[in-house]
Amino acid sequence: MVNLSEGTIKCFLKKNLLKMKLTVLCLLLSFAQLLASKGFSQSQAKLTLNLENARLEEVLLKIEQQSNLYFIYNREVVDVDRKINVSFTNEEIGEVLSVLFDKSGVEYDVRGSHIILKENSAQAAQQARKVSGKVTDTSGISLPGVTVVIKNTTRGTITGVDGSYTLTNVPADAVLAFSFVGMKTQEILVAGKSSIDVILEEETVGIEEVVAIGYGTMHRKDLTGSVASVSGSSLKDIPVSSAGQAITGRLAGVQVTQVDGSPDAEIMIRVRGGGSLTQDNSPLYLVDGFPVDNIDDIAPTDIASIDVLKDASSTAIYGARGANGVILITTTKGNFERKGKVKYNMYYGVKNITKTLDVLNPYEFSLLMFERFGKSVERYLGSFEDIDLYKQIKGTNWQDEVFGRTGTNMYHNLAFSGGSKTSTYNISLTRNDDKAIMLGSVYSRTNLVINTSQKVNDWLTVDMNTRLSDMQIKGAGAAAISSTSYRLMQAVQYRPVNGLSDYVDESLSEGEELYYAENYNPVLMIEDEYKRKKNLKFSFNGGATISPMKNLKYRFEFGIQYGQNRQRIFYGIETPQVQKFGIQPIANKINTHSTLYRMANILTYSKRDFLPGSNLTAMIGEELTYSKTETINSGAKYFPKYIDAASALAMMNLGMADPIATNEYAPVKVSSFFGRLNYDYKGKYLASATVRADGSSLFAPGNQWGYFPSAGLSWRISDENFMASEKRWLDNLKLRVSYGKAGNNRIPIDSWKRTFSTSTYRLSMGGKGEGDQLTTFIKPSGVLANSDLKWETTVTRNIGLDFGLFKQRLNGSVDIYKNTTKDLLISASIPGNTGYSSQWQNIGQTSNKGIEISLDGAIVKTKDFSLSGSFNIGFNKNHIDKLGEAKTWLESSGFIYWVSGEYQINEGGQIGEMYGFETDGMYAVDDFDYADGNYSLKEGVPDGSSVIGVADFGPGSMKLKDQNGDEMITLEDDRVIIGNANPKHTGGFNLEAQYKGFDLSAFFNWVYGNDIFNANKFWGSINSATSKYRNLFNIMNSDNRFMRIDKVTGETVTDPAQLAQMNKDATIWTPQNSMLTLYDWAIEDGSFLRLNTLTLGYSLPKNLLDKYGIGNLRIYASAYNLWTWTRYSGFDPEVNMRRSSPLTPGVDWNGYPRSRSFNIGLNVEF
Amino acid sequence: MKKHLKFIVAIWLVLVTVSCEDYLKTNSNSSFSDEVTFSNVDFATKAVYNVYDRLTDEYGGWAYMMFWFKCDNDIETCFNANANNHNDIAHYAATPSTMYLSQPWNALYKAIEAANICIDALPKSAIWTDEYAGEAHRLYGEAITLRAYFYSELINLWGDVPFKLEATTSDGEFYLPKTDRDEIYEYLIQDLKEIEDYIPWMSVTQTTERVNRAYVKGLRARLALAYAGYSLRNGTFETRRGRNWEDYYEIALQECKEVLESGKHQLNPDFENVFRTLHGYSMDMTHKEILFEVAFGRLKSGPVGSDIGVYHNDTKYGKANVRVRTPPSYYYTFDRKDIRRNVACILYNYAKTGAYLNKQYPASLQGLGQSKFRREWIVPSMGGDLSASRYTGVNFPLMRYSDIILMFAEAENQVNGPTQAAKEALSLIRERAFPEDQWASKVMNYVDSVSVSKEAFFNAIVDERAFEFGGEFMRKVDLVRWNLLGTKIAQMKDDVRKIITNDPTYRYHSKLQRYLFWKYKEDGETMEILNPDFDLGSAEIDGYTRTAWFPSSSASSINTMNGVLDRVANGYDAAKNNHLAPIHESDINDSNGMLRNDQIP
Repeated sequence: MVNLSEGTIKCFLKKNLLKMKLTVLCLLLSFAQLLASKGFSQSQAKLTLNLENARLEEVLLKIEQQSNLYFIYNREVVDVDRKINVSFTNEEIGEVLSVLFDKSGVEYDVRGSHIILKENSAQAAQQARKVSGKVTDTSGISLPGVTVVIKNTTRGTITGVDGSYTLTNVPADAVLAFSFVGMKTQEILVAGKSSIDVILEEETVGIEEVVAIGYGTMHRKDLTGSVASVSGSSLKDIPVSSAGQAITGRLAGVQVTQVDGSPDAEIMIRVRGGGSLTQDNSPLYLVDGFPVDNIDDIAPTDIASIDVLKDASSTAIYGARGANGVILITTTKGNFERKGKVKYNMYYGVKNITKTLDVLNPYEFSLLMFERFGKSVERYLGSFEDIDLYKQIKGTNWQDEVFGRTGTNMYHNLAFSGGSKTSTYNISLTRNDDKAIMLGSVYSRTNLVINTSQKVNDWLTVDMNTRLSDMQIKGAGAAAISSTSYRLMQAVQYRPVNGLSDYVDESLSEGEELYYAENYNPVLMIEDEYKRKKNLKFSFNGGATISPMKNLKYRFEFGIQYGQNRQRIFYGIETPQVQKFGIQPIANKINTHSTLYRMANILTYSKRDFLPGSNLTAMIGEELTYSKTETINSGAKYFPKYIDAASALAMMNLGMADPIATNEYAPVKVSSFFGRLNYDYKGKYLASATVRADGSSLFAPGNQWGYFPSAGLSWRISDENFMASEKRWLDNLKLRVSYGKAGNNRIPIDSWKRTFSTSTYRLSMGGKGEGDQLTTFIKPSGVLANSDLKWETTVTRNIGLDFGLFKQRLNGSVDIYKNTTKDLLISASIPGNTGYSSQWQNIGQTSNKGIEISLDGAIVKTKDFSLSGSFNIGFNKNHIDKLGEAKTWLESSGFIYWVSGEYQINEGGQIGEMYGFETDGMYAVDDFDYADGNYSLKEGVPDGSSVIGVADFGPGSMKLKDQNGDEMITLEDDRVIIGNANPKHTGGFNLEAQYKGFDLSAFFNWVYGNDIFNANKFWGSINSATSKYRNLFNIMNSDNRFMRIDKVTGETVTDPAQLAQMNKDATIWTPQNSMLTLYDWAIEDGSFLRLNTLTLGYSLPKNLLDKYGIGNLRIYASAYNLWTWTRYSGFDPEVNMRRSSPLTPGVDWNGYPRSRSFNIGLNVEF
Repeated sequence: MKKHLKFIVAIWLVLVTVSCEDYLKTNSNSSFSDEVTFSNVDFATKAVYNVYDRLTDEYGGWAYMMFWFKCDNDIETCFNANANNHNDIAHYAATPSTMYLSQPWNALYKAIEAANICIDALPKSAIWTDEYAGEAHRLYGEAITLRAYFYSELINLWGDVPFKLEATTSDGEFYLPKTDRDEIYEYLIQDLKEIEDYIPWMSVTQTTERVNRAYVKGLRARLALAYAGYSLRNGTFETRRGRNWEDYYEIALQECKEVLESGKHQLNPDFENVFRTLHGYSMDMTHKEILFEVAFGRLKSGPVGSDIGVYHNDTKYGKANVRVRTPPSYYYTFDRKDIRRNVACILYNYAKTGAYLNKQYPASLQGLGQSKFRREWIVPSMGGDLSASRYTGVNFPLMRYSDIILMFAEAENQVNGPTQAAKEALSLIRERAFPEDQWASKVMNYVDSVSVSKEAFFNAIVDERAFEFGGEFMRKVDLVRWNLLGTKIAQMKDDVRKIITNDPTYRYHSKLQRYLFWKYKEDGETMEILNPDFDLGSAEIDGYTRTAWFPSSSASSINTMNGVLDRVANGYDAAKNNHLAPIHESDINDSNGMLRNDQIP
């Protein structure tokens, strides 16, 4: 036996196949010749031909040979390559010719022995011909792999490497359809042309766009719900590290707030305002169908598209968790039958702080200290006579020290993608290194995404999607800021000079007084607070799609996500954290492991012409998710004083170990069943209905299941006959109406039952053999359980209008909605006498209503120049409809824990209403009667002493408005609503211009009409009795403020005339004030317009690149956060620092200042 | 193709069956349910330990209950200026927005809830009736006792308060009005009576860190005396006694008598040793003088010796930034021979620099601390590496046997007058306080002299409690129930002003010394004062260091001391007797209108 390798067999077959074909052909030909040789007269010659799959030219040749007739023809007109089968036996030439050229668009004319073949003028329209050409994109780069199909046939081809294609036998009246993923499909009438070059445009938001809708996709034109989308290509130039940041301002009705300027800052996304009161209002995030906590670890370059489902008609399919909107992220995949592509993107940027806050200079600082604390500060600041010396000292600007450095940001992304007939792949590697502007703060991340799919056979396709993200955050500043260490505020408030202690006795700088009011040297503190956070996430998702029969598709999905979060924290001896623990270092290691499983089964049936003229798609599915988290916290205190962080963390037993705390949280499980029905009639009338049932382990048995139905209708008015006359300018007009319910279960684990957990940290019961060891005890959960907890439900109603005008030059949509959220899951404050401070309850009802408009237009479109723009705006108004029993309460942001009740939650009001006093200037000297060095308030002047603090009250004190006219300022009666954190509208607009190889884009976003509680300013303008050596904002300088001491002598002035004279130009009250309740001076307008990103790019000409085999090369420069127009006086108006409860939005406290960055970047494609 | 369809249907059915109700049952391995927690004695004990743990909580526990809220009386004072924080609370100047008012309120109720959970669960548990019943009953009694203690602190601080005796459930009433304190006291006193038998004597428990029979009885007596005494009443602002006050003196008397007669406890003959023992992290099981202590953990909790105690400026014994002080008048009220003076009030601090490095040196007049608690006594020492540790873990005594004796004397006097039994009790205390050679005059004669009338004997009790318990932060509560707060604060201020000006009309003028003459003992560290309570003129004395004592010579020092004195109780108005604190506005906000600040005129 001969052992043949695979290669040999193939080769053997190929060779022999060719041989056999040739043999057959030869035999047939000789047979024909034999028959023809019988001979005939010229025109009456009889022909016998038997040819299979022969070229027309060959046939004509045979005829010539048999008949002595000669054909005269033009190859341009007559397609002699046409393959035909002929079988004639003794047939007349006329009959043969009529069969040969039937419907071929060729007529023949027999002139003697010549037969002239020419174009049949009558049949020209149907004439079949060869069409060839080249497909490029708008920048002139050839596109391989474009599908070219003769419409209404199954015939077509695919463009080659250079973008060229050839199609033969194309009827002259045919329409060629050019389609390519990510590009707008173009249909071109052949109209007799034999060469058709096509420029495909990138697909933008248009009616043909395919959008993800949850467990499936849909054409935008068929939607009944409200879905906003942004494609990955429009995100590629934005020099930010996370997907969330990249979509800021891009989508109507989606408000994205980066809570501060930290490179790993939390990105807060709110779809249509968010209904919940004290709940996390984040939308549900799904990456390729897999639910994730946040999208901070998705590299923008890995995103193919982001779709935001906004109304219940679209979100209800996610029932349980869809109430706050759903964000679907689709990562880039390979394509079948696409040549491999290599893409490389990079940018490098530098960044700086945009703004610092003015604080008192050393002289002003010293003066303030003398005014407030008198001679007691002499010990550090020297005697008052020498205070002028401080005018010569520049002092330290701590903000420069802490945030003054130039940060850098480096981003690399390398991606390979492509596919064969049966498989696709996309492999993408991203590395991001971000050195932030704050001292010691570094952020880096590596992402690896591998997406593959395989057509196993004609009924089975499997796909696999793997993501890895490895994030590392270094430095105290980059990590979340704890409320107790005012790290960022220290850079503002820390004393600019050390006074005498720099010169005299070292020990003077120590001691309680300088540490009083929690003043810590910000630089030492940062250097001494070591923090490393490593966040490693693996996610594997597999799926199989089976089509057991036509119209029916079954999909199985399974995914695992494994997360590991390792935190290493070390507090050195300069940090406030160690003050209570012997001023000795503390180290902590916290490891969190989380596992998330998901499994889904989806069955889809779709039938075209289900009933005449109507299409139907039905889907049912089932999904299970399971997640579990486990933490281990090991720490030690009382390390030797001068140990460094790395050693302490590596040798924890050098310190005194805390008991190890472990926690295995109860798993969170959700079981769901869902179904959807889409029906359309003639593409004009569309209807969809979904229903979902969700069971969640977060509720008590009996309350676990929630049912969430929805329905939507839409009507394509533009397709109606009566609109035909408007077709010239109106391409598309669609009305959508939807109504539905979605749910929310975001409450902590075990909120419905009382549990007990162990604790060991303070108590040390001796006696019973436990010696000096700490005693473990069992304590009940800190939040009161509520066994009646049930699903929160949001009902959404949406009316939308989509339109496309002037041949799709202007597209847009308008949506009006009203969402009502019932049975709000609230962490309600309950009175302390219950032994708890809060309990999760289903209370009350809120609603959000609003309008969203988005427009997209191609303003100029010529061969070399194009200008396009997009615009979106969202108006949202929030309303608290009902609030259960309490009706109204005050909520504290807790920015400094002794200030309370800055926000009022009131039935009939809005979430985010700031509550406090209105200021009314300051008390004048003649508001008081003066006697024996004491000032007493005159009759009829409202008395604010109980609020300001009796000790500090006097001329120059801040005056508060007496709302009820009782001449007494009290917390109970004189506070009113003084601000509202809700913007009137938010939005963004984008302008893109292209001229030859250059592109320029500018993206702006804005927020209008919101108030911000500038807590930094509030705290920086109060000099309470505990504020010794704490610096204030420059607004409080001695030229502005009401002074109580003589600037020259330093003596306290009590004489009324002198005091009045001295302060006649004072514009602001004295900061001497123990008042710690909000007042309107600290509330500022937070409106802003930001030039978010400005990019200038240049793509190198294609002919130049072709030489080097480069498909595309673009270089660009961009600026991020280039300019902000705002009246806000703080670092940046886009800020939201107190987020533990959504009830206290818009607090600017210790936010990481935002930076401005300039970047250069490169996109290459091979 | 049909084959595939069957396959899918099969998978489908399996998955649907799997995902039914059972799937949604979850449990955390890191937590217990109610049933498990009280299913055995070990776990139940740990649940009761949680109630004990509440005593060690800084914000809600010791820092406020132990000293800030107990300050500004004639022995324990805060010398810091008002700053809208705990200083204001100590000075009776707090407003509803003062810092740190809310934490103790909430923490005390949290402690009460912790106790209520045990009190509800234990009688329903299996261990209530099985072989561990005795232990279960004891735990139940402990929870009841601690709950009574926490309520008594709430009343001390705020007067009438919401009163809740069951664990909070979601269908219960959250918003409670205030209950009259008479009603609360009556209930608690009865409650303690009922569980008394569940709690063993210390001879059985062998620990001071869990409550015992004597403490239950002592607490009952203390609550009864508080009830029988005066306090400012909500709404009406009158200062009056509890409604059936006379009966409650009888209860106090009975309880104290039973403890005395039990013979289970004795006074430690060495007064100083009572406190030194605490600093050695040990318990005196011989005499069992201390009935109950807060079980702080070394390096983990407790401010004894650091926030309260003798000032140490970062010495070899560590750092003690003493937060509250003792006015110098306290020192001079002691009899020259009273051993307790040099335990409770010493005239030195420890220094860090210069010639006094790591040694004692004379304190300033505003620098005296509560010297029953001294960092240098801590064994093993918390100097060196641990020198800055604030959490000394030294236990704080909540009740001593001498309190039982003096409460007995007080109640006996109230009920029966200065009887022999009352006299004997007082004598018992004084016998330990004086060397035996002084007993004739300082004990017998003294006791006889104060036993001439009920009133005289009462006054002697007022004084004796000052000598015995100074620095243990019991004075404010005592003065309030005697309605002497204003009088005693005024007296103290008057005394101090006279001391600093060397005013000859000062009642103990003969004890004042313009200069202190002192030298180091052989150890080179501790001081020996030649004239602890008499003047030796100003001439130098060989071998002794001379230090200007009360600063009559320096006007600025007088000014400073006067300024400091002005701060003490600056918000207290004797006419109003506003000894209660306001409820923090955040707690008022949360009460849904049920609570108002109606306790302060």
